Amino acid sequence: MRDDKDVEAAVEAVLDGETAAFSSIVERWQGPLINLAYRFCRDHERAEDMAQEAFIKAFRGLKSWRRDAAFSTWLFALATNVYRDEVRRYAPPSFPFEDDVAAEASEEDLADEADRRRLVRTALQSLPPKYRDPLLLFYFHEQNVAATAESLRLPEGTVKARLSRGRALLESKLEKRL
Amino acid sequence: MKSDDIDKVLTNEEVITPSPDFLASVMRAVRRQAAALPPMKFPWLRLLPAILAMFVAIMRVFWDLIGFLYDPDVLAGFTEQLQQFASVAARFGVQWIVLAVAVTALSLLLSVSLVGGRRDEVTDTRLRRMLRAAASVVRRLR
Repeated sequence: MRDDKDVEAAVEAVLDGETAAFSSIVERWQGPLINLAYRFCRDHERAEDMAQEAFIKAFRGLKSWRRDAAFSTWLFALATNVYRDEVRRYAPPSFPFEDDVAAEASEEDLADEADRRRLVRTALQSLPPKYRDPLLLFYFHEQNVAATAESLRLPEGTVKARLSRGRALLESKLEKRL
Repeated sequence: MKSDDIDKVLTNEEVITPSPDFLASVMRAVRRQAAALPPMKFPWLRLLPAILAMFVAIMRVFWDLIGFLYDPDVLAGFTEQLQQFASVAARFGVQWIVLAVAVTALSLLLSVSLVGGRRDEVTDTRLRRMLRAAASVVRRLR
């Protein structure tokens, strides 16, 4: 169901009362939505809960999708909004970056690729949401600033500035420890 | 760690595969949503005459009050009545009455917020998540 017309047909069918047509939308977007949720919460089960909530909200608000934007743009913006709210409300119990992994990390520890990945992710999660969210979405959207801006419903200029500041913060956090 | 290394890590994130029953679970929730009656709309149109009448009445009271306050005799009488009220209030311990009313209002608000919350898929998911978060905090504390 990669074709926009197929999505539009499915949406029209759902709006006409054919609830089952929504399954094709879920089928098509379940992977991306769960993966996006996972980047916010780093917990598979929770990511599925969050994605389910996003799909339910999408079902409820299907009427609000204006055809001038791609369905995927609308869906990602809605899901991003749901995930940011969820993460803000039920933040995972975690320790600040400085007190957690990085405090014990040394150059030898980080020789292992898995540790390096863990350290970068922990540092990213410890950033303020204002900088964390654009970075999460930027890498999720394969470094596409326009898609990141659309998901966050922010101007591209603002997103670029936040990405730049976020990257600087991330680098300084990681440099301090190495 | 250089900027390129950070890019490499964040670009090559692990990919999560949806559980086999995820689609079915979402569709069950969606069908429940579709079967539920739509929330009733508040009848603003029917209430419009009452709102207008209330607005006219408030304006009238306000207008009378302005005229009332410009009369010096009435103002003096009003001050006297206020003093009488203050002395009666002091005799009956008005602070305790205010406290009792505040406690009653607080308990009423609390019970309404606990019982009156909307129970749907989203709320159920949130409750599950809250319980899971609480369990994980307890585990960490141990």
